Amino acid sequence: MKVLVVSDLYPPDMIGGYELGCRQAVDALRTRGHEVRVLTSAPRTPVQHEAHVRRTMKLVDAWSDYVYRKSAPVTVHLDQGESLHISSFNVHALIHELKEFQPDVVYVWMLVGVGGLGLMACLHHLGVPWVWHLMDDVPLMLCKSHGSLVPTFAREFSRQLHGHYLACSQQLVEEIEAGGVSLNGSIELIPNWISGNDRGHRQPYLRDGTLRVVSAAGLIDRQVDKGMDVLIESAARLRELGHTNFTIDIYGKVTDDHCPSLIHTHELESQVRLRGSRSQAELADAFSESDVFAFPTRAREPFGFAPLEAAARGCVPVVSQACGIAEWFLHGVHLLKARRNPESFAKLFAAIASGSIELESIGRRGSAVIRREFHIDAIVPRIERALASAARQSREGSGTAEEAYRLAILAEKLSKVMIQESLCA
Amino acid sequence: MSPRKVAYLTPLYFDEASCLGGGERYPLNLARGVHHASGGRCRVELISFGAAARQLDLAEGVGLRVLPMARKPANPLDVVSWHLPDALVDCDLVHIHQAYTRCAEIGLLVAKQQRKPVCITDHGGFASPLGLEVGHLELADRIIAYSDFGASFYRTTRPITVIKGGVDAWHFRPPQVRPPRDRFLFVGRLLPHKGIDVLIAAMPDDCPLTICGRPYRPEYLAKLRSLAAGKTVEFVLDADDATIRDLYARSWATVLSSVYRDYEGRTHDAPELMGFTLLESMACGTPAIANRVGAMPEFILEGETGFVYDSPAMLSERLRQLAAEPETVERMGLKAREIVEVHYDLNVAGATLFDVYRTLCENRREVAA
Repeated sequence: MKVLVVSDLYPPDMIGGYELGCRQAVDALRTRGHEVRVLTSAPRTPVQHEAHVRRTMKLVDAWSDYVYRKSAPVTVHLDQGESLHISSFNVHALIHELKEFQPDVVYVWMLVGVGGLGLMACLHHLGVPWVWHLMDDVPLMLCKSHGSLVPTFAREFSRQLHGHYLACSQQLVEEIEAGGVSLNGSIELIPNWISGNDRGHRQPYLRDGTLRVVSAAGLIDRQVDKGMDVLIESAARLRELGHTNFTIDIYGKVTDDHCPSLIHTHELESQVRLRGSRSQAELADAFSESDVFAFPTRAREPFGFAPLEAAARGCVPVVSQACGIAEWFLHGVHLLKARRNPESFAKLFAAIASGSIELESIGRRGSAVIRREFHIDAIVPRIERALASAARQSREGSGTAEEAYRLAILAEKLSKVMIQESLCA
Repeated sequence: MSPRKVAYLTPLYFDEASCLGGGERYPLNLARGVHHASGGRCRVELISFGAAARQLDLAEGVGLRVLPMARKPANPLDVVSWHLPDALVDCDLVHIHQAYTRCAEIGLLVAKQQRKPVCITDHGGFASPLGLEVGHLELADRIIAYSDFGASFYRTTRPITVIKGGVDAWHFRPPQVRPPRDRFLFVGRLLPHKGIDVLIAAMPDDCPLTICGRPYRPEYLAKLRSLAAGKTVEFVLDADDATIRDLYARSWATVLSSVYRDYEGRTHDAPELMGFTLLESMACGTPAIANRVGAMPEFILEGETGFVYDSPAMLSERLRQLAAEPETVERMGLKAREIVEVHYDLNVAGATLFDVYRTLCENRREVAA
C-alpha cells in the first residue's frame, strides 16, 4: 500500500508520545513493505533529512508559551485560526503530496498547529480515504475556538467526515463525543504500544528497603496537568504516614515554577527530584532501576506511552483509575490503580513500601502481557487492516484539487477578516 | 435526478428595509417559476438573514427562512449566520444571489463542502472583494445571468446560462378596462445612476411625468424636485404593487433613463443588468423607453415594443411622438405584452432554470456513481 501519513510534528521534532507513536507506526509499516511518505511541518530546530519525510507544512507553534504571552490578542486569535481551522499553505502542501505520491490511503495523526480542520475538509472534498489515529481528542480541539466548542464546526465535522478512526481508548472516544463531536464511520480501539526488544536489566524491587518511584512527561507544568502536583502532594502524605525511605524522580521539561514551588513548600527536595528531559534510552534505564511508575494523570488522559514502556521493564505502573490506560489492564494483575488524589497514591505507595503489595509478580505479568500483546509488532497488523479497508473505499462525489485549494484560500481569508473585524472593530 | 429542494441564498430579502432593487424581486419570481416548472415537486427556500430566526411561506412551493445573523455587519450584504450549514444541508442545489458578498463567499464554501451543485447570479451588489481575489466563480457549477450584458461581466471559465426575464406576467397584466393614458412613468429607486434628472430635463413641458420609487438620497430627491419646477411632475414615494400596476396602465410609456455617468460625475459600469420595471411595464401592455445603457436594449424591440434612445434630444422626440400617437402606444403595448408572455414570464424563465438545475443534479449524481 502507498500510505501518506500526515502529522503536525514528526520526530525528532516532537512534543510527546503522539508523535513518537506516529514514527513507530511509520517505521513498522515500512518494515512490512509498505511505501510510506510522511507529510509534516518544517521542524522547529534543524533535523536530519529523511527521504520519505516531507517537512513542507507550516506549523503554528502553539507550544511556545513565551511567544504567546508576548502576542497581541488578535495575533493569538489569528494564529489559533491557522493552527486549528485553516491553513491554505498546508492544504496546498497536502494536495501536492496527494498528486505526486498518489496514496491509496491517508493516515492522519495529530493535526493541531497545521490547520487540521481544513486538511480534513480537503480530504473530504477530494474523497480521499483516510484513517485517523486518535491518541488525543484532536477532533474536539479542531472544532474549538479559544477553548469553546463552535457548534457549527462540530455539526459539519460530524456530517461530512465519515472515515476510519483508530482510538487508543474507549474513554477517548466518549470524551470526544461527549464534547459535541460525533465520530462517524468505523471506530476501532487500538491501544498504544511499546517498540524495540531491549528488555534491559531489571533491578531488584525495593532494594536497600527504598521505594523508587519514577514518573515522566514531555512537559511538566500546571497547564498540561499530568498530575505531577498530585504526585508531589502524595510524597508529603507518604512522609506523614511515617515513610521516609523513598525517592520520586520526575522526568520531563519543566516549563513553569508550579512543581518546583510545591516541592519547596513541602521541603521534599531530598526525595522528590525534577530530573529534566532525557532520551528514550535513558528513560528506559530509569524504568529498569525503579520500582513503580507513577501516572497520576488527569482523568482525560487518553492513554500515554510511558506507563507501557515502564511496565515492559517491570516497573509497575500506578495509574489514575479513570485514565485511558486503566481500561486495558487489571488492578493487581498487570498494574495498580488509584483514585486521582494524593491520599490514594500515598496509601498505595505505603502498601508497596511496607510489603503489603507484592510488586514482583505484578511486574512480571505486566511486562509479559505488554511485550506479547502491546508490542508494535502485534499492533501493526491491525493498523494495516484498517488502512487496507479504508483504501478500498470508493472516492464518490469527489471534487477537484483546484477547487479544494481555492476553497481553502477563501476559508482562510474569510477567517482572518472575520477574526480581525470582531476584535479590531 | 430532479431537485426536490433548492436553496436560494440572498443576503437581504425584498422587504421594507431593502436598499436593493429588482434584483431581489427576481429570485422570488424565479423561485415561483421553478416550482411551477417542476410540476410542484421542487420546493424553493429563500434563505436570508435577520435579527431572529423565522420561517414563512411566500408563495406556493416557495418559503422564506430567515437565519439569525452572527452579528450586524457594516455592509448588509456581508451578513452571515452560524446556522447556514444547517439550512443548506437538506437541499439538492444552492443558488447564490449576489455574487460579490461575504454571504455568497460563505455560502459557496459551505455548499461546496457539502458537495452541493452551486449556481451563482450577480445582481450588481458589491460588498466583498475576497471572492474575486480567490476566483470564487470558478467554484460554481453554473453562472446564471439575466442578460447578455450581465453575462459579459463574469470573469470565469465556468459555463454561463443567460435566462432573461422572470416577470410576473399574471400580476402585471393589462387592466380589463384600461384607464385613460395620460402620463409617462418612471419606476425605480431614486438614485443618481437611474438618470432621473436627465429624464425630467428631457420631458416636454406639456407632458406629465410620474416618478415612482423610494428615495435613498435626500439631496438627489431635492435636485429632482428642483428640476421638476415648472413641469408637470408627480412624485410617488411609497407605492405598493397595486399602485404601480395602476400607474403602468395609465402611462403612455415607462421610461428607464439609467446612465453610465451620473450628474455627480460618478461612473457606473453596470447601471442596469436587466431593467425589471421595463418588463413589468411591458407585461401591463405599456411600451418601454430606455437609454442605450446596460442590458436594457436587449429587452426592447425597437419600434415594436418601445424605443431605445441615444441622447436626451432623442428621448424628448420619442416622448412627444408617443404622447401624440395613441394608436402607436396601443400597438406597441399589445406587442410588448405578447413578447413578455412568450419570453419573459416567470414561468418561462423558471422552466429554463429548472432544466439547468435538473442537469446539474444529474451530473452530480453521475459523478457520485
